[in-house]
Formats: sequence, structure tokens, C-alpha cells
Amino acid sequence: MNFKSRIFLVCFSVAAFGFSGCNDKFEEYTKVTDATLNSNLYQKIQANQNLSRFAEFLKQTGYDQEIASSKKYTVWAPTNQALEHLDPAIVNDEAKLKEFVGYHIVHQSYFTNSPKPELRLKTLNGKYLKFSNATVEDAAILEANQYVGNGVLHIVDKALIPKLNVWDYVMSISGKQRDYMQGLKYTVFDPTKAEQIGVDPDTGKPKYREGTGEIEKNFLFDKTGNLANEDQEYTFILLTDAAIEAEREKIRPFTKGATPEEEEKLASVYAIKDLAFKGLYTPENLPAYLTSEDGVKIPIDRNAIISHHFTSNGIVYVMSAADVSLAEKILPVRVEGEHPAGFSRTDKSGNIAYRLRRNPETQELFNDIYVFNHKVNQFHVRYQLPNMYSGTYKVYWVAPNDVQSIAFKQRFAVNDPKSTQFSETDVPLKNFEEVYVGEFTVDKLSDLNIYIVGADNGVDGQNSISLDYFKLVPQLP
Amino acid sequence: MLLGLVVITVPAMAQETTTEGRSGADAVAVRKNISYKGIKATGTVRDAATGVPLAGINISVPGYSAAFTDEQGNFSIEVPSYKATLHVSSPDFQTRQVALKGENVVVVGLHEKSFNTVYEAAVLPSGARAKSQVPYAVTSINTAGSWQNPMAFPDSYLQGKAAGVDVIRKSGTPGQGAEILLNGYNSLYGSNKPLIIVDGMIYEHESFGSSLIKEHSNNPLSNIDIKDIDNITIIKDGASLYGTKGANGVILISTSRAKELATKIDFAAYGGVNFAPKNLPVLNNGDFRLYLSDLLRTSGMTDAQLQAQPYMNDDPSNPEYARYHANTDWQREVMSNSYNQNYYLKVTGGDNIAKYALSVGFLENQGLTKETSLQRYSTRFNADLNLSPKLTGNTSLSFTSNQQSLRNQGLDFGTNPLLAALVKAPFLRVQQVTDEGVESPNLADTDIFNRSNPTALINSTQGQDQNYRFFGSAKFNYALSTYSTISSLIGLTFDKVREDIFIPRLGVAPEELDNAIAYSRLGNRVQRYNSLFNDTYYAYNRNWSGGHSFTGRAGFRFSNIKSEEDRSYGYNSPSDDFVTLGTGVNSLRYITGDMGEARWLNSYVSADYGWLSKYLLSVNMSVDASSRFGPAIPDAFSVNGMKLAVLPSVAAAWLISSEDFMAGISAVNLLKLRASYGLTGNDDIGNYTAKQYYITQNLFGAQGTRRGNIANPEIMWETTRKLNFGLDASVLNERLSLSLDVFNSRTTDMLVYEPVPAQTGLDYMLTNNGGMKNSGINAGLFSRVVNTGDLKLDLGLNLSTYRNELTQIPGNRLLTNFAGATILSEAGQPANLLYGYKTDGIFTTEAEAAQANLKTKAPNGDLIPFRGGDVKFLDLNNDHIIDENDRTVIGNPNPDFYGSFSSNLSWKRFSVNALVTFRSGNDVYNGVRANLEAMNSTQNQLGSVNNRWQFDGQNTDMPRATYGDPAGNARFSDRWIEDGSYIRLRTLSVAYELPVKPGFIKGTSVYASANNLLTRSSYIGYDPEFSAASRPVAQGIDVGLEPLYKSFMVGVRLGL
Repeated sequence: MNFKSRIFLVCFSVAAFGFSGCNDKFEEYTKVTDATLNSNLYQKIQANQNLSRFAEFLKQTGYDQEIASSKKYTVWAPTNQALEHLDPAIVNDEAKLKEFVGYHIVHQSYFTNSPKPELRLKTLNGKYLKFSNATVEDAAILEANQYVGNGVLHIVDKALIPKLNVWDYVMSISGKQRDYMQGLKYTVFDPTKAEQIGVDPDTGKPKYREGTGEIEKNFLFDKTGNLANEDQEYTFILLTDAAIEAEREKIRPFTKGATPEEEEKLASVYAIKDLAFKGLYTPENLPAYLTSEDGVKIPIDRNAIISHHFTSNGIVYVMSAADVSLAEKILPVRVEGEHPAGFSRTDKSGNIAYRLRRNPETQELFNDIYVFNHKVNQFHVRYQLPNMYSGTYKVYWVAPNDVQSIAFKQRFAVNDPKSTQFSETDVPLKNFEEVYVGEFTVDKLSDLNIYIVGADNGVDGQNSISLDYFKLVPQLP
Repeated sequence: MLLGLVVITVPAMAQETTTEGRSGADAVAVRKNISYKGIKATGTVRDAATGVPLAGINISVPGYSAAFTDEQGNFSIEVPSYKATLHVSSPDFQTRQVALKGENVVVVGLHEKSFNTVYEAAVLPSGARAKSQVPYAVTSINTAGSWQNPMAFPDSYLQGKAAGVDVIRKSGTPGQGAEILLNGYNSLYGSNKPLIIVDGMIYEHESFGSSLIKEHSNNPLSNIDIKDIDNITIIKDGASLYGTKGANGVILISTSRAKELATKIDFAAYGGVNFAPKNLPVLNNGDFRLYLSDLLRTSGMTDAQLQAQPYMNDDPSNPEYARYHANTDWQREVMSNSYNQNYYLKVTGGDNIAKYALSVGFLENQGLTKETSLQRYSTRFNADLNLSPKLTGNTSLSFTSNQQSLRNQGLDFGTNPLLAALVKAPFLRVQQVTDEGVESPNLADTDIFNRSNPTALINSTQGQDQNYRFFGSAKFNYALSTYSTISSLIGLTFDKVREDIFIPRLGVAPEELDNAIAYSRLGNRVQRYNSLFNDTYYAYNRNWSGGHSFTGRAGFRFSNIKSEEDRSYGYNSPSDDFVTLGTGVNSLRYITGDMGEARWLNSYVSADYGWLSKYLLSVNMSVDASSRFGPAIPDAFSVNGMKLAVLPSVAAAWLISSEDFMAGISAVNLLKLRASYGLTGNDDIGNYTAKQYYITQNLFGAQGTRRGNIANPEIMWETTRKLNFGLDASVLNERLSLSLDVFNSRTTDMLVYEPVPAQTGLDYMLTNNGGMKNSGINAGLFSRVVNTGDLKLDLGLNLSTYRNELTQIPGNRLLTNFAGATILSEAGQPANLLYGYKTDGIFTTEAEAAQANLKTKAPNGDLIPFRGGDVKFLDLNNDHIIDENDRTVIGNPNPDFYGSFSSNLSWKRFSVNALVTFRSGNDVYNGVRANLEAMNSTQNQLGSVNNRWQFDGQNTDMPRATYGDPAGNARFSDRWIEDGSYIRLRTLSVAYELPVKPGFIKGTSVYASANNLLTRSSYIGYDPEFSAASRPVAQGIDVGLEPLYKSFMVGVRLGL
């Protein structure tokens, strides 16, 4: 090989090297430009000397693994100083510590520009915290928005102690209302939650292990929703002993039960159910009235507020009075004709018309029910009214009878379609006014079945049923 | 057709008293020895490398005299005058033409036979002629068997071989081939493919119909085994030799024929490996989950819903845990290294009456996508017959059968396994898994994101393409006199393609049809093409002793082509075990197809005149009739009412180096100026555009026909005027040569889709109201750098550039949508500009976005303000709304220049060949990356999205992840336009000729070669070279085809 060829070979290998020097353009292109995105939250916390205690807690509780994983989190890490005076009861109790640490972490990344103006975020321990632009709960954010690859870290000046929820708070305070509420607990059996241990050879039914499948419930929660539910904020009124007694006494005539025990229980449920309101009403934006789930307006007398307590799912006002008038609480019940619960026969759907009509006098639209040409004696339409307070009610109805050429009669009956407590009432032609039908008494708080019964004949036109609505007006003292 | 070699050997026989030979490609000439008395020229012939005198070299003046060199390399020859040109030839050395330039003593240095000389024979329709004697812009490539690169196909083989030949590989799919463009684009909607003539007959290489396999097209050129080719001659300028088929230039391929009577056997066997490309860096499990968190939060999913997603659960006791905690490298599941092999046997020989060349070959090349491959069985039989002293015949017969196993390609994330693998969540599994984590052998079905299982697309999918082509001709030549011949060639092409596809329902995301959901998909397609071709002509070929030479030819060519395509689709077979079309649901079966027939009659006259081999003039004219032309073309020449295309051309050349005044400048071997001007045409205007036709239509279940077009009786060929100036120079005993061409071509009557009023019920009609022009420069440089007896080094450089401009288009402006890109064709601009939005990074803060006060228009017309983390699109019309009026030109897919660099090194018995090709300045729309950085769906993304904007003030240029992308961050913008420049070591091969004693075995060589060994490119994708379709508007658009790959092979060749 001569000199020239050697030169060529050298040139060639240089060229080849030049070619191969560019293999990692992908690595270059996909390189993370911001190095902090390559670290995770736990590394970030560990790297900060001032968060060493919190880092230690994270390790103890196993949350270090979690916030190092490939999911997004926001961590509000209290400084060492903030954790100095942490209750030893928390530090020394593994479960409590886990609850405490979990309260500083939420899923997803939230920066201080996220709350507008405030966010309520569920933490890893199941409770919520409130995050605003500069604070989280009652702690101030010292250093905000320290992002890493799997989320963001805010350094706060106070340890965040999880609050009790409304139920737990109320249970933690002695008083009559608490006792009444506690007394409303009951259990039901849920076979899907129970452990099956065999099958009864005689009946073929499954046998369950004792003590499993029992679900704790509360009569109050059946009305208000679960006050221990962290996902729902409540404003709750906790009355002083005198006030709650007054409320119970006030309602007692209308909550008569089959037994004295039941009557006690019903008085409690019906007195307290209207003291829980969905939503958070802080003292600053407390209105004059709060409306309960059942539509009862409760007057809020600011002077009667003894104290208020924020809970993890709302606020509890301790009040000396929440004086609701019976007229506000026991409201007239109006039932629309077009919403029946059933009929005396199921084969007459062709003879039942759910109509949209216009009142020729007021020009207003209304819906009603019209049953016609069914050829059945005493055909009836049934309506179901749940939880009717005991007491006397006056009955009114609107029965338009606007398409027939003849008037007819129909009867109002309570709980038994054959009952003749009410006599047949005339239904004149084209009457769009309320007609007084009569009155009746409910002797204990219960569900009612109301029947509108057609005339006792099979003659078309004469046995029709017409109903826009009927109304039960309670007779209060 | 005979080869240059035969021409060269003719004068050698002129010395004998009476000899018979053939001159030119076809002519049968009977020459008598005439003894001339007159002036003599003397000289010496030496080996250019070693200086050793060469004996037995033939020296001749064609048609006048001939002589041999003696032991000292000296010769003495009678010449008609000292202005004559001596032809120097021998079996072992190059051919050479030496002008006496008024002197009587010459010294000639000859290079070896394979030397890349400027006197190389170019095989033109009128016969083989030394390139130096051709006034056109031609390139001649002697493939020399191409033993070192056996897997190449004729189209891909041409890459980098000549200046002005732009070869763009379509994809890495075996057999897929390449787009060939000679001197840029000439047509917007018509074909831009050059005409290919194989052994005198038109070789149709357009792929008809549309394949059932997405983005696949059949490549007829893959039917030609590169080792069967002897010579490829490329005519780039406007020689109107083929009338309305020659607008895009002509490539003439000559297949190998027997050169000697002795029986010769060549056997070669090769085997090698194809290497799968490096993985694209998609997100890993952890990063993908973080991406999903960010993305799904913007979809309105609450934190609780998000945490309830099974892939967010990290509790191993959860029954879904195993299903969502794998770590699958999906790209490796669908791509793997694969193997290739090739066997080839060629037998040549014969006697005085008949010579034959028979070859058979088998090639198997497996694809990168698992389970894909190409198998080719090919055979060729060429014979030359001396039927009587005056009548000779040549037959060229070939039959090739291919079997291809393929998979869908293109931007289809549901059924293209390559793309499905890129976007599939890495935490998912290939196979079904029990709650306890035990894998079943069954493949997993579509996933929680409704994505296909890429492995199902590989293992349970079928995509077969079986095709064959018979291409054969017989030619008879009858010598009327010493100088004139009459010839006729009759040829047939039979081509059939058969495709079957099946896409299963298990593991494949269903597809929405108009009226049903397609779970499994079946299809069947048959395509036939056959043609009859005839070329009959009278040829006259004579050299006069006064230095005049004339080659004339007059004749006609006729072709009749017929094609038919039948396609059927079926859906929802009862189960994945039913894979044939008939098992699909009856009501969803859909059958379509088309057929075509066209006739072409081309009458032509050509005349080549030369004086003293230094003044060359060539005149051609063709008059074409075609069934495709309209009956009412205005201003067209017509005979009996039939409209004809009259296309003349003229070319002239002057060999300055042969002039007497150049006598003193011995360093200059060749200096030649060329000029040519010609009219050519393109008849790719549709078979029935001039006629009214009807197509089938289904309306509410009733089948009927409706108008398919508006007939245009004025439809005509596209006319391309080509002007070319060239300079060929060779100096220092041909150790440095240069070929330079400047061209300008102008297409008028260009086919366009012209919008028509809506009341016609059609959108467009085809008219000739377009125009385009192209100009450019091609330069080829060749140098023998080292020239010693043992060591030789050649370096070559080809450099080409062209500028395209659309001169006329209806409405002056046209936008075409292709694979997510918008392409602008506007008068005064290149025909295919990428047209979209310009960007300037992103809004890094909410405040910045608010301050910019920009909005984007949602599809429903709502104005959506941009937010922090959105892309900052430039509001070009300052109306604070980013809409289609803000689009501008963002890229040009045409290269600034392209070319190649080649080097051949030979040392004793070793030779090393390297070919580097490059392309520069072409913009590319990275459609794959546009999907992998769109950040608008649960598709897996490229690793770069780890830099996405995640919080206010983050300094990055990657926008935020938003579900559904309301701000349109992923729209077609300059974010996806990349520089497609690349430089690639295309082939590197080493050959070693084993020393064997001459005997039974005549020679043995071993080869090792590597393809695409090194590629340098800044392109963020598998590979920057691809072509989704041959139309100009489809250039530079990456639709996710199989990439080109590295391959390595070794082979052995045995000569008996």
C-alpha cells in the first residue's frame, strides 16, 4: 500500500467516524430540558434540610414510596420548625401518624394559581383540605410551586391537623341533641357484604357468618345524608339542651307513632332533620334562613349562635334557638294528578290520558290525568304519600272535567279505596277552581295511600276520573 | 438488440477479405474489404496505469480501415485525412476515440475495461453509440453484473448513479422500490415517471389500482433482476423519440445476452441480515402515566375518577394489577431483524446460428415488520438467431412471480402495526392475563383506550400480494442492403396481481363504516394488465469515407393496453377462523372495480448526421395518435379528423477537442458542447377523459349508474418543451472528467382538475389549463485519483439541482390536503409548498396568553382564547383570531440540491465500492411526530413530551397536554416541518476475487456488502427518506411507512 492509499484510508475512516458521531439525535431531542423534572417529590423533600422531619414521617408511614411513584401529587410539607411541637400522641401512634401525613398530600398537581379563589381537595387520608393562593387550611405557604416530575411541593409553616367531620364533632360534644342523634342508629343486613358459610339444607337459602354483613345506619342520615361523609359539606345546627327539647315538644303532636319508643325516635328525627343543610355557610355569609333538604326554612338568629366550629366537611353552629314555626315545618302537600302510583286495574292504559291542557280562564298550562270510557265500576287511581305527619288535613282538589258533555262524580279515599269516609263529590263541567272535598285525620306519622275512585257504574262519561291535583292542608294549632 | 461491444468489434473484422457482422444495434451490414492507398497515421498504445505498451489493440477508422498494435504497442493505419478520428478498442481495455486533429502521430493511454470512460457506449433506440458521439444529455450505466448489490431493483439501483436522476426510495418494504424523477417535475396530476424501455419494448411500471393493503403499491420494476441487466441508458432531455410518452425522459434497459459462443455458467448465492431500526423513544410506563394524569384532568375527569382508572392502581392485590403493570416494548413486538437470501444462475452460449442467455433466480427478503416478506422467482431467456444471411431474430422473454406478505402502513393507528406499537400503552400486555398474573397464550383484546394489540396485527392479520408478469418480445431484422434494414418487434405483457387481506376482530380496534361497525375486515383484489406492442421501422446506417456518417430511422410504434381491477371488501365474518371474503356479512359486502383500454400509434422519423465525428446533428420527429386524445382539440394537426400530436426535436453537438487548433493541448481528451431543444408529450391524461362515462352508485340499497365525469372533447396531451445545454470535458488521459448540463423545461397544456359549477353535480372536470416550468443544473465529476498497476482509486461526484415553478393553474391557487398536511400549488411558486401556521414557541404564562389576546376558532364556530401552555401561532392578518387566513408557506419539499459521492478502490484482487447519497434543503412534514407530540389523546407519545408545559412560567417550547386539543396546538404548523436533508452511506461493498487456476472453474469471487450503513440526518423519525405517492403534492410527507433499514450480506459467485 502506498502513501496515497494510506491517505485515502485515513480520510475514509474519518468520514465514517463523522457519520457515526450523530447516532443519539433522539436522546438529544427527548432530553428533559428542566432537570428538576427528572426528580420526584420524595427526592425533592429529602433534598431540603428544612423538611427532614417530614421526610422522616413520610418514610415511617410508607408514603415515601407513593410520592415517588409515577402519579401526580401535591404535597404541603411543614417545615421542621412547624413539626417541632407536634402532639406526641400523633407521632407515637402509627395509624394517627399515617393519617396526619396523608393529610398533607393530594392527588394531581395544584399550583398556587389553581385555586380561584379556593379549592377543596381530598387528601390521601380521605379528608379534605382547603387550598387558596397563599394558604392551605390555616397554614401559610412559605415556598410555593416547587415542581418536580411527578407533581408539586409547597412548603408550609404549620402542620396540618385533620379536623373531625360534622358527625364526629357532634359526637365529641356532650348534650341532649348528641344523645338523640346517637339513639337513631340501627343496623341492616346486606348479604353482598356478608360472608357466606354454607347453604341451609332445608330451605336452600344461604347461611352467613354471624356478625358479618351488618351495615350501620342512622334514621337521621336517611333524611339528611351521612353527616360523616367527607365528600359532602354540611352546615349543621347543634342546639342547646333546652332548645332541642323545645323543638321536639313542638313537633311531637305530629309525629305520633305506634309505640312510645317510636314516638320518641320520630320526634328526634323530625326535630333534627331540618337542622342539617347541604353546603358550607360560614358566619360571614350566613343568610337569614337556611333551607333543609325537605324544603323547610329555618330562621337563623345570629344572636342565638353561641359558637361555631369548622369541621373537615363543613361547619357546626352551636345555637340556643332555631325556632321554626310549625307552619314552616309542616307544609301542605300537593299531589299532581298526572303522577299516580297505580290503578285498580292494569289493563286500562288506553283509557288513561295524561294531558297537557290550557286553563281557558287564566291561559296557564297545566298537566292532569283523565280516565274515561273504562267501563269499570269504582275504577281508582292511587297516589302514595310518604311520611305524612299525624294530624288533621283538609282536602281540596281541582278536577277540570273540560272535554265531556256531562258531569260525573268521583270519591276521595284514604288508605282503602272502598272507604266511604268521604262521600262522592260532584265533578261539574269545566271547573278549573279548587273544590273543597272534606277532611280526615292521620293518627300516626306514616305513609299514606290516597285513592281517587270513579263512580260505581260502567257507563261511559259517568264514571270518568279527572284530576289536576289534590292538596292536603294540615290543620295546625 | 446488441451491445456496444459488438459495435466495437466490427471494425476488427473489416480487415478480413469478406466478413459479415452487425453494425449498430440492429442493422445487419455486409461489408467488403476495400483497400485504400493514401496517407498514414502512426502511434503507440500504452496501459494508462503502468505505461506498458499494449499489443493487439484494434485501431480503426469506421468504414475505411483498421489495424492492430504490435508488440511495442505501435501501429500504423491508413486514414482518409488527418481530420479523421481513430477508434481504439480491445476485449480487455476501454474503448477510446482519438481525433488526429491534423497530426499524424498519436499516443494513446488505455484504462481497463471497466473504466468509467466518456467513450462509453450508450444504448439508444437507434443502436449503441459512443456517448461522445451523442448530442443528447445521456448517461450510460454499465451495471457490470451488479454482483455486489444483488438485492437492488432497477429503480433503487439508479440512486446516486447519475446526475439529474432523482431517486427517492418509497419505503423499506421489500420490493417497494423508488420514485425516479429525471430533472424534476413536469406534471401536477399526470405521471412524472420516466418512460422505461426494456429491450426495445415499453415496460409499464405505473402501479395500477389501489391496494387493499394500506399505503402499499405494487412495483412492476421489482420483476427485473438487477443481475440480468447489462446497460441502463438514461436520456434526460427532449429527444422526442417516444412522442407523448417521453415527457419525463427515457430510461433504456438492456438485459444481458450471450456475448460469446462458448458456454458460460455463472452461479451466485447470497445471504444476509436486515437490521431493525433503533426504537423511537416513546414514553416509558412512569412518564406515560404522568402524561395520562395531565391529559385526563383536562378531559373533565375528576381526581376520584382518575384514581379509579385501573392503570392508576398500584395495589398488587387488586385483580386488575397484573393487567396494567407490564412493561412491554411494543416496537420490538412488531419489528425485528430479519434475513435475506438470493440465488442466481445464468447460462450463456450458443453457436453460429443461435446464441442464448438463460437466467433463473430466487430472492427472499424479509421485512422489518415481523411476518412480512418478499419472495421472487424469476426467469429470463434471451436468444439471438441468425436465420439466414439477411434475416436475424432476437427474442427476449421473462417471467417473474412474486409473493409478498404485507401489513398495513400509513397513518392508521388501528391497523398499521408500526404505528399501533408506537401509541400503545407500555403497561399493557401482549397476552391475556388472569387476575393472579398468569399469562394465557391468547392475545389480549383491544385495551381500555380502544387501541389495537399490535401483536394481533402481526400474528392474526393476513396481507398477501401474489403477482406475476410475463414480458416478452420477438424481433426480426431483414437486411435490405449493406446499409439499410427493416425490423419489426412484437411484444406482449401479461401482468396479474392478486391480493387477499384479513384483519381479525380480536385485538383490533373496530372501524366505523357508513352504516355499520366493522369488527373484522376481509378483502380480495385481482388486477390484470396486458399489452400488445409493436415497433416496425426502416433503418439506414452509413459512414462515408469523406467523414460523413448518417443514421436514419423511420417507423411506427403501436401499443394496445388493457387493464382491469376488481376489488371486494367484506366485514364481520362469524369468527376469526373465517378469513375468506365470502364469510363476511352479506349486507356489508362491497364490490368495486374499474377497467381501461388505450391505444397509441406513434409514427417517428429520426436522423443523426455527423461529419468528422466532431459536428453532430440529430433531428427527430414523432406524430402520435392516441385513443386518449379528444376529438376536438383546437389548433391540433389532424388527419381525417383524427387529432395528432406533432412533436419535433433537434440536437447538435460540437467536439471542440477534435478540432485541429486543439492539437497542441494534449491534456484535453474531450471537450464537447451540446444543445438540444425538443417537444415531448405526456399522454397520462386518463383513458376516457374525452368521453362521457358512467359509474355505479348505490342509493338506499338500489344499484344504478350515474355520470362519472364531464367529458372534455378538447382534452390533449401535456406538452413539455425541453431546452438543454451541455458540456462534456475530459482531461489528463481521462483521469478527470466533467459533465455539466443546464436545462429548462416548460410544460403547457398541463392537466388540471378545474372546478365546475355546483349545478353540474360534479366538482371538477379535467382540462389542459395548467402550466409548469423547471430549470436546473446537473453536474457529474469523475476522477481517477490513484492509477497504478495494483492500486486504483476512482472518486465520483454527482450534483443536481432544480427549481420548479407552477406557471398556470385555474384560480391561480389550489390547496390539497394529504395525510394531515396542506399543500399549496400557486402560480409563480413551486408546485408543492407546505402551507400551514407559523409558530413562535408557546405562551409560558397565563398572563402572557391573556396579554396576547388571541383566540382560535373551534369547528363549531366558537372562539376559544389561548391559555398558558398553548402554542403561540402567528396572527398574520392581525385580527386576533387564529384561523385559516393566518396560514402561510412553511416549507418546500423540493431539495436545494441532491446527488451522490462514489468511490471505487481496487487493490490487487480486492475491490471496495462505496456510494454515498445526499439530499439537502428539502423540508419534510413529520406526520408521525405530529401524532406522537399532539398530546390530545391517550395515545402514547414521544419522549419529548416530558418537557410539556405543566405549570405557569415553565420555560419550554412543548405545549401543554389537552384532551381533544381545543386550542388546536397540534394543527398543521411549522412545529412539524423538519429539514429532510440527509447524507447516507448507501452501499459499501468489498469483493475479493479468489485466485483459481484457469480450468473448469473460471473464476470465483466473494462479496460482503452493507446497505444504508450510516445515515446522518437531523430528522426526528426512523428515516428521512420516503415517498407516500409519486404525485408532487405527496412529496416530503411522512405518513408512517416502514423505514429504510441497514442490511448486511455476504455472497459468493462461481463462474464455470
